[in-house]
Amino acid sequence: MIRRTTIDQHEESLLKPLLSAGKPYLAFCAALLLIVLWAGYAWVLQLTGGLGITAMRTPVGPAWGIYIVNFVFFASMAHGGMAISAAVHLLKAEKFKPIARMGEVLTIVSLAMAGLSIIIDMGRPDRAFNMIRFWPERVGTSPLTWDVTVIVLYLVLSLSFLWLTMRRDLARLAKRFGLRGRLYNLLLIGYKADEDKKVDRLAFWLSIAIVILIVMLSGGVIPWIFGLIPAQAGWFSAMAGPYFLTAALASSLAAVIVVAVLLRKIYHWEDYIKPETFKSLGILLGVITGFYVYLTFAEQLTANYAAPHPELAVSELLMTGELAPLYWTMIIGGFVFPVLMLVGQTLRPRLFSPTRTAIYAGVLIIAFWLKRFFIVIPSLLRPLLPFPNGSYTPTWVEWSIIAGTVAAAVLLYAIFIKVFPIVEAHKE
Amino acid sequence: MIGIIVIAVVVIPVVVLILEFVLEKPRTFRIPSLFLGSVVAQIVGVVVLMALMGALLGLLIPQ
Amino acid sequence: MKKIDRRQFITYLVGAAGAVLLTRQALASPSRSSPTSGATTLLTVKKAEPRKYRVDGSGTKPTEGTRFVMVIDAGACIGCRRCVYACKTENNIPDTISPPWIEVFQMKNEVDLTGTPSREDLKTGSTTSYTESPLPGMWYQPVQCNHCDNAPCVRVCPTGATYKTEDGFVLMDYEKCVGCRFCVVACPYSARRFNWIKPQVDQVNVNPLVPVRPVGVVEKCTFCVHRTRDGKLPRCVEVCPVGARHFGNINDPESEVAKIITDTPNFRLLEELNTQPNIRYIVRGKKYTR
Repeated sequence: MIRRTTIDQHEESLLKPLLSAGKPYLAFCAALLLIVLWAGYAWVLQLTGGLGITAMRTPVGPAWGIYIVNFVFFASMAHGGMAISAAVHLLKAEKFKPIARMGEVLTIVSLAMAGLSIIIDMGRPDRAFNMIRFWPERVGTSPLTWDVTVIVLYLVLSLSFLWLTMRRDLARLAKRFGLRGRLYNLLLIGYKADEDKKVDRLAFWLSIAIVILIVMLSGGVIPWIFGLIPAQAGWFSAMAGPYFLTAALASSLAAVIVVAVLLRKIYHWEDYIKPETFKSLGILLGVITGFYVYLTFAEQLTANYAAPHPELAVSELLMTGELAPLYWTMIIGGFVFPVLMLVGQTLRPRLFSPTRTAIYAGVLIIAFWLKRFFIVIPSLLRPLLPFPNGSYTPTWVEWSIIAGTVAAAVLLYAIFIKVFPIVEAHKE
Repeated sequence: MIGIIVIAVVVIPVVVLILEFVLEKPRTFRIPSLFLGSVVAQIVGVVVLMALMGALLGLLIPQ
Repeated sequence: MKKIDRRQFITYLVGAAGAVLLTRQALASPSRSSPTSGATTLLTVKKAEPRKYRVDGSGTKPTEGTRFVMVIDAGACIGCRRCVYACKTENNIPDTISPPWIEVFQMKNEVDLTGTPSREDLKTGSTTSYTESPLPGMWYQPVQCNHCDNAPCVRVCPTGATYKTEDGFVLMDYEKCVGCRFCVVACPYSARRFNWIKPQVDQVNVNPLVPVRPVGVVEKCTFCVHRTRDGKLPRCVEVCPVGARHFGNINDPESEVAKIITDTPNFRLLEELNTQPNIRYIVRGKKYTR
C-alpha cells in the first residue's frame, strides 16, 4: 500500500507542469509572445519593402546573412534530442530515459524554426511552393532541394515517433483533463492497450532510421549546401560533413542539457532526474566539442599553411582581420574554456553540479551560433574575383527576426509542456 | 543523378526498416499503418501548408 | 544511346551543310548576310524549324546548331564603362542594382592579366570606382556572366528558374525564382545580382523587349538574348568604342570569334573551377594612350 502511494506521488510530481500554470509562467509566455510579435512586425516590413531592409548585399557584401546562419543553427540543434532518444531505444540507456522526450520535443521545435528561417531568407517566400512543384526535376542536382526533402522527412518521422511513444501516457491521462483530454482522445485514435510492445519495437527500428537521418541531415545535406560549392573559398571541403555533424551533435546536446536542467530546477524533479545523467552528458559534450576545436584547428591550418590565396584571404579575415576580435573571443571563451571545465569535472568531481554544466552548455550554444556565422559570412565577403571588400553588420530587422525565431522556439516548448506530459510518466 | 543517390541513401534505410517492421513476426498491421498514415498525412499537411502560406504572403509582397 | 547518336549525326550533317551553304551565300551576296540589323554582324544564323522552348520572357527561340561565345580583348579595353551603361539601359536595370550586370576592374600593370586574380588584387580588391581612364600602367578587365557550359548556378537552383539553353545562354525565369540566392553564392564570378527592393525603372525609356523584374528575384547578364537570337549583337559589343568585344557563333568556323579563338592565345576566368565559361579573354589589342 505504502509503495503504491509513493508511486502515485512520484507520478503527480511529474505531471506538475500539466496541473498548474502560475503567474511567472504566464508572464514568461507573454514576454516571449511580445518578442515574436515584434519579429512578425519586422518580417512584415521586410516582405513589403524587400530584403533591402537587411544588410545583405551582392557582389560587395554577403548574399546570405544571419538568416542562413540561424537555419544551420536550428537544423543542427535538432539532433541531440533524437540521438538521446535513439540511445534510449537502441542501447537501452535507461539513465537518459527521463530526458528522452524533452529532447524529442526540442528536435521538432528546432526543425520548425529551421524551416521558417529558410522561408524568411527567401526573396519570394510566396513562391516557396515552387520548390515542391519542381521537386522531381530538381532533386537530381540541387542541395537545397535535398535539404527540404530531408528536413520534411525528419520532421515527419520524429513527430510520428513522438506521437506513437506518447500514446500510452495519453491513454492514462485522457480521463483526468477536460479540454486536453479531448485532444488526447483525438490523438489516441485506434488505441489498444496491447499496442505498447509493438510501439516499442517500432521505436527501436525507427531509432535506427533516425540515426541514419541524423548523419544524412547534419553530416550530409546541410553541410553540402556549403561544402559542394567551389565558388566560395573556405566552404569547398570534403570535411564539411564531419565538421557540421560534430557541431550539430555538440550544440544539440548542449541544448538538451540546458532544457533538462531548467525543467528539473523549475519543477523540482531532483530525485527523478539524477545528477549523474548530467555528469555523463556534460563529459560527452566536452569531448565532442573538444573534437570540434581540433577540426577547427585543422581547417584553419589548411587555410594558412600553403593555401591558395582565396582561402588565405578568408582565413585572414578571421585570424587577423575585422572579425578577429569576436572570433578569438569565441574560440577561447566560447569553446576552449567550457571544454576544459566540462572535461575537468571528471578529474575534480567537486567541480560538478548540474547548474554549472548547464551554464557551460549555454555558453556553447551561443558559441556554436557564432561559429556558424564565421562559417557562412567570411567566405561571402571575399569573392574569387577582385571585387572591393564588403562588410556585414546585420540590421535591427535581422536581429529582431533572429530573436523572434528563438523566442518562438522557447514559446512552443513552453506551450508543449502545458499540453502534453514532457516526461514519460508510466512505470514499467 | 547525384541527388537521386543522395536521396536514396536517406530514404532506402527508412523504407527497409519500416518493411522489416511490418513483416516481422508476429505480424500486425495496425501500428505500422497508423505510423505510415501519420507520415503521409503530415507530408500532405506540409505541402498544403506551404501552398497556403505562399498565397498568404503573396498578399504582402508588392507585385 | 542510339537515338542521341543519330541526332548528333544529323546535327553535324546540318551544320556542315549549313556552313557550306552560308559560305557560298556570303560570297555571292554579302548584303544578304544579316537582314535584321544595320550594323555588320558576324552572326551566321541558320534558319531551322522553330522548336518548343522554355519561355524566358523574350519570346525568341534558339536556333539549331548555334552556340554563342564572347571574346573580350582586355588589352584593348580602355575602361570607359560604355558597355556598363549601355547594358543598363538596354536591359532595364534599376539604379538599385549596383554594380549593374557588367563590372570593370582596374588592375595594376605589373600583375599579369590571367584568368586567376593575383593575391594583391584579391587582398585589396581591384579598383572598380575609378573616375578616369585609361590610366598609364593599368589594365581594364570587364566581367559579367560567363554563361558557363557547366554552370554551378544552374546546378544548385531548387526550382529550375535558371537554366542552360542549347545555344549557350544561361537564362533566368523571373516568375519561377523563389529568391533563395543559392545561385548567387554558387557563382564563382559573382555575376548574379539580386533585387533587394522593388526595382524602379523609368517607364518612358523602358525597353519593351526585356521584362522588368519583380522584387526578390535574381537577375544577370543574358548575352542580350532578345537581340542575339534575332541576329543582332549584344548591346555591350555594339557600343564598345575600341572594338574590344567580339561575339558570335563558335560553331561557325567562318565567324569572327571562331577565327580569333583559333589564332590568338586566350584564357578564361577561373578555368580551374571547371565551369567551362563562354567568355574568352585575349590581350591582343593595344590600349589607347594619350
